[in-house]
Amino acid sequence: MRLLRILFLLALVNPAMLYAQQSFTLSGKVYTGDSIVARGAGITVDEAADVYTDSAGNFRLQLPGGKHDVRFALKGYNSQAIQLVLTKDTMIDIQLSDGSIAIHTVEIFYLKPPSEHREDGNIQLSSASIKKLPQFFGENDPMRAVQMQGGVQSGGEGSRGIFIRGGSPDQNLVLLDGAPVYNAAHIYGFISVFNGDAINKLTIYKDKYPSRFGGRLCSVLDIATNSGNKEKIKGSVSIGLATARFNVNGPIGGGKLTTFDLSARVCFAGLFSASITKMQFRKSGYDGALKYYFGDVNAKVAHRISAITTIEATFFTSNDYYSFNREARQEETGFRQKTFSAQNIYWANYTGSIALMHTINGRWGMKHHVSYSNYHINNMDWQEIQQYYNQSAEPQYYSDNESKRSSYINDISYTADFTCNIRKQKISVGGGVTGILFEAGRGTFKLDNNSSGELNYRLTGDKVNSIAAFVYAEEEYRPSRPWVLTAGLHGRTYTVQGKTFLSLLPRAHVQFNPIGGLYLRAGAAGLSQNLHMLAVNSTTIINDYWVPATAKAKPETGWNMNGGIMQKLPLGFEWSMDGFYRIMSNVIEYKEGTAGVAVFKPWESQIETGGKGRSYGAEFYMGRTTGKLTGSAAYTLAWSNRQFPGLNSGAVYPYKYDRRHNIATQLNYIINKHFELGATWVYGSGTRFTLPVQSYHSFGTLNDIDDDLLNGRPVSIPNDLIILFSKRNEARLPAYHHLDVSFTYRKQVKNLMHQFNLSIYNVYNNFNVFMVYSDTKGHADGSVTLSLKKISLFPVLPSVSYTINFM
Amino acid sequence: MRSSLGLFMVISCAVLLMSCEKELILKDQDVQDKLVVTCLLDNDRDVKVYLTKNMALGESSSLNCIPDARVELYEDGTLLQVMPFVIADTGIGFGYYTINYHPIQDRKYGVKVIHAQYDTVSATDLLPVVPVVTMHEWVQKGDKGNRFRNKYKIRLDEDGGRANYYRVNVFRKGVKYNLTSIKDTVFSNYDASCGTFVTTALKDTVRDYSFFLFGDDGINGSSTELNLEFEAPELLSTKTETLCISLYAVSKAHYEYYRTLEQYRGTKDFIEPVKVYNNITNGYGSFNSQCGYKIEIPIK
Repeated sequence: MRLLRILFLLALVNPAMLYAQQSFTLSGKVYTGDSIVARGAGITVDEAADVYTDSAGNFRLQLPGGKHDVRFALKGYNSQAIQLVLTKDTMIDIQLSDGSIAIHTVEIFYLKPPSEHREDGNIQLSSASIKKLPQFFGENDPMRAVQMQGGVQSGGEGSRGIFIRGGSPDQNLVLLDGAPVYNAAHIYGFISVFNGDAINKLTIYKDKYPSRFGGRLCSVLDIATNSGNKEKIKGSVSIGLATARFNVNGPIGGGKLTTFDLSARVCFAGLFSASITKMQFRKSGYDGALKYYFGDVNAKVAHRISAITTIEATFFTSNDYYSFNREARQEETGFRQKTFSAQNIYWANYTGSIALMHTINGRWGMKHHVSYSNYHINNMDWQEIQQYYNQSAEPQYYSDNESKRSSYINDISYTADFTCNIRKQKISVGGGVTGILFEAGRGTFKLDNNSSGELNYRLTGDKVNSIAAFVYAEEEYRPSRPWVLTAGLHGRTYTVQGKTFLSLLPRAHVQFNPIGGLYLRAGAAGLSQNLHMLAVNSTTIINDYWVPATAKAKPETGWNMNGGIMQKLPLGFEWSMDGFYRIMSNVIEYKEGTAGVAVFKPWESQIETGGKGRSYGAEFYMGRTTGKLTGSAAYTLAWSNRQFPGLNSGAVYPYKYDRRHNIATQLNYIINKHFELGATWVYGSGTRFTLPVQSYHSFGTLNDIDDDLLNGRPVSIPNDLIILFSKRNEARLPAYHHLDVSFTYRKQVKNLMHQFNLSIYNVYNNFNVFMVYSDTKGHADGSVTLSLKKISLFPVLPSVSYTINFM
Repeated sequence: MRSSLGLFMVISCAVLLMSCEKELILKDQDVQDKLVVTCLLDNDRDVKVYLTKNMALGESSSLNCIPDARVELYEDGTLLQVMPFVIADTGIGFGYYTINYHPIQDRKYGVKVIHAQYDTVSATDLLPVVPVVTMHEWVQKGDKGNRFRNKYKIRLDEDGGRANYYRVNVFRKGVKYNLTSIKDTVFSNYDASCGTFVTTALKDTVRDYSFFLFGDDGINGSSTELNLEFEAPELLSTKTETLCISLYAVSKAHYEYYRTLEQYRGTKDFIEPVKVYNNITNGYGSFNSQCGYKIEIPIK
């Protein structure tokens, strides 16, 4: 109660409240010209995005009474501007049509600033806000925008994935137009697979979990791509330091019923890296080259079948290719050796989806969605050794070893969603079914040398089929103006290897708006996850394997609880404070010393199961979203632990990404219509790791002992240096931080908008730790000294890009 | 303009590809000096105990054997003897504590080490019983696909009364040469297509290029045929040599120590490290035992 009073006092000292004697609800529905509900239409105040209409075209705003300008916009349609004077709760329907601009006049007072941070705690990022961030390699990466939010952290320099509130990357459901994307990162995670040109909006669900979502423990990243504009063909072409991309969108045919959007991107770093690495390797005494390429394509077609029915089809693919080959020569008197080695890795995502939206009686919205997603990795390692003695032309000894491994996941889903708006209630029901086929660890091995001849081995991966089905029901109820109550239930069955797991997962959320722009919120959600990802943070380019939950590695389950407060202030300022607590069960981890899904062994024998996880903390956010100077600062204080019976002697230990402090700040300043400046600074406590602290000598392998025994020699003296480590993840690497700035110049010449961007990554050249390794240095007396070394990847790194937009 | 842009791109690429490597300075760790005991008891060999100490990170790893400790050997809880120190290598001053005594199977041995500068350390282990091998024979010398591929069968009568652990080694005798990783000894349900590499009956196996370590989980208490498959081109040569096959019963301490040691040796950078099994109270190291059944096969 006392806290409530304080919150009220805080609200009362807010200058905006001095003007806003009373607030009212502005709600309604947005239609397109043919009375089709407009899903995702933006409702703006002061020319900046505020909220979007839901799938039924509905919107709802809480505005203090008085004069106000509201603008409704949807890509492909003319926007509508409205002048309002709010004196009571008002419901209006807006029709977006060609050419006409309707002006309504009422009385007015308070300007409610737009925000990406929704009152319910979730975050909705627009394409514009994603493009405000400084570029990295000339790319506007949506995932970097996600990492700037409270409670979200990257793993560190070059780490793949995002970590939300103490969870692991696989615990985030990443949806691209409803289809799951299983690998969201290009090489090392520096750039995500999502092309900023193709993205319309990105919603992060980490507070209020809609009941329609399931299958992951932490969060949902729901990405919607552009459908294309309805008027004319538009597009853009961009080239940067290592990437080039284009976008084209517009109507198909003259009826304006069908639109499309096509984006493609390619990384040509391999063109430079091959020659540069060749020079570097030559200095080291051998030949070789490293090549890396990636490309991705987004395509979407939307067609209006009738006034109340729309269909959309989406296709997405991302492909990465990494190649490293090396040839080393060694020559001594009477002896020559040639060693050839190569590694090729190819990994790719393919997703496709079809969505059918239909409106019944203007109140019921219905959506049918079918999607397919495939993710696979192919890895080839090869090594050949040739040894020559006494100037011989033919090798006296050779060996030729080659291994090929592959892994894939196929996912086919169907979902049906129904929503209905009845006065103060919004009801959502639906269900779906997903079939997933996994195969991890398939491969072939060829071992050949001149003493044993050629041996070929085939390894059949563990193919596992699984089926998950779910139903859900949810009601959002607004009993009176300040309250929004949401309750739902998500029921899920998961069948694998003849065993069925049932989960009943309740969801609840309360939102209270006691006064003006002040919001209180609290929620709880039960979640489950039917698949695991096995990933090792090593120098390997990529080593992520998705595996199914099985009778041994049971489905992960968890509970998320959170509560918070946010306030929207005049002039576009806002702040929020949230606390969270999460528990997880049945999480898995590699056994100690496991370097990835090893061959010859089933993956289930290489993992620790039955793990528990717990994370908790607080997030603080403040920002300004309108005006020439915008920006935000997010701070997260968090703890994250894990516990496994077979690890760390069964004791609780800090999770690798237990990051106590995480700060993400960004500023953007529009100097004039041509120039824009941007800057971001991120800071995170160092990654946890297990520290080598001491060492001792011991026996070598039994090989030495038995060899000595058989040859009648005394057993070898202890000759293995064994390193003793601290408790698991007891130590921290140095903190991770860097400042990035960008400068953008734009100029429109007729129908062309030219844009030049200069970005500098890591301005003050901080050597963030990419990886550490223990190194031994030999001495003349045969002893060695152990030390710990770190590798940093990116010093200060400028990049440029040039973009032409065809208006 | 074009040349400037080109230069800029080349420099930027070079900067990108320049990895920066530095020594990581971490706070000095508070490391307490402790004794390290290393001993492998074998029913066929004299007892030897190696005694060294641990080293802090950054400290030179010179062999630091400790010659002035009191090392007591116990058998079934009774003091057997205080072991004298013997110099084994006068060049580096390295030695061990030893007695002329072969441990006896199924007896419990203990070691206690007392030194003025270190905490007293101790350890115990039970010497296992020699494996009961009821039959062994050649199954095949070479096959159609590979004339070097051989198969030897051993029938093991497994004692179901307790958890047992075993190790198999295959060697040629007379040369300092072990079968390589390609020519390893493995348990396999023999398959010409090589589809199966290790029999599924055994669990938690450890396989190095010179030995195969396994527990009896899956074969406990049964009479089991162990099919040893290995590559050995020398078996077809004209040389007269001896093939040695050793089947050891090993203690759990032995199994755990070498299982974790092999995992430790396979650890790569940036992978969660393996903690090597340690059964020394107040210290580090391994005090473990083995008891072997050895087969020597003349080959031509």
